[in-house]
Amino acid sequence: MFELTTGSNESGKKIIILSGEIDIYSAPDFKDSLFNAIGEGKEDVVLDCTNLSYIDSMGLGILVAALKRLKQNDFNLYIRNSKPNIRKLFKITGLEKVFIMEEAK
Amino acid sequence: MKLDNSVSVLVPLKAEYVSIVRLTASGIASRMGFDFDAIEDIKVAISEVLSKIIEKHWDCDRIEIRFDYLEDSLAIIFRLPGNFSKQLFGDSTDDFAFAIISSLMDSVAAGEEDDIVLSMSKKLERAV
Repeated sequence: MFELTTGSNESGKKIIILSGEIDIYSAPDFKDSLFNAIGEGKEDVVLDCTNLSYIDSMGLGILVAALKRLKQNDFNLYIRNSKPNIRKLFKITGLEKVFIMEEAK
Repeated sequence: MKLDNSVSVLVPLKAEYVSIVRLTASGIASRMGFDFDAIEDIKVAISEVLSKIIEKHWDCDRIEIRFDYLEDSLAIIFRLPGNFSKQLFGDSTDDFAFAIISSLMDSVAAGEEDDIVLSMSKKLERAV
């Protein structure tokens, strides 16, 4: 299971905190929750992945869809503090160059 | 040389059972001596294969995942009982799932028998 909560804004960026596991079972709920949280995509979004333990290719596809929505309005999606096993998937799929990957502040 | 301690799990071909197979794989790989990173690789690869099969909506109720303890590696075989000859990836080997599976495992092969969808393996020494 996964959990998505919206944190307080930080320098004009919306903070979304992810935790748990995103796989084929939880992906539909994750997609709905993420797109609800992003809304019309009119501000930068930071996904705090500190407590995200697992994501699969379906979850990565949803992140790409979210990025597209933000990019339409010239905003961006930041992936913050992902665990090494998750960062590895971004690297394998080439997505580390598509998203802005940042370490925890 | 194949040792006499293979493990098979037979689960419904449904999304909610993928995490159960993932946990099973984790236990088996841990028992074999794989390190944390290698266990994560195996878990991810298994989930990707199962998710891909589920996405295809093939007419199968259950899937068998067999874990073969080999001397220096773990072989994982995905079998759909019944006469089966469909390709899991076909021409779409450029998607995220295939990239992930082929990067994380040492070998990935389409099934050689009718009811085997895919087999893959991970060498133990890579984890040391």
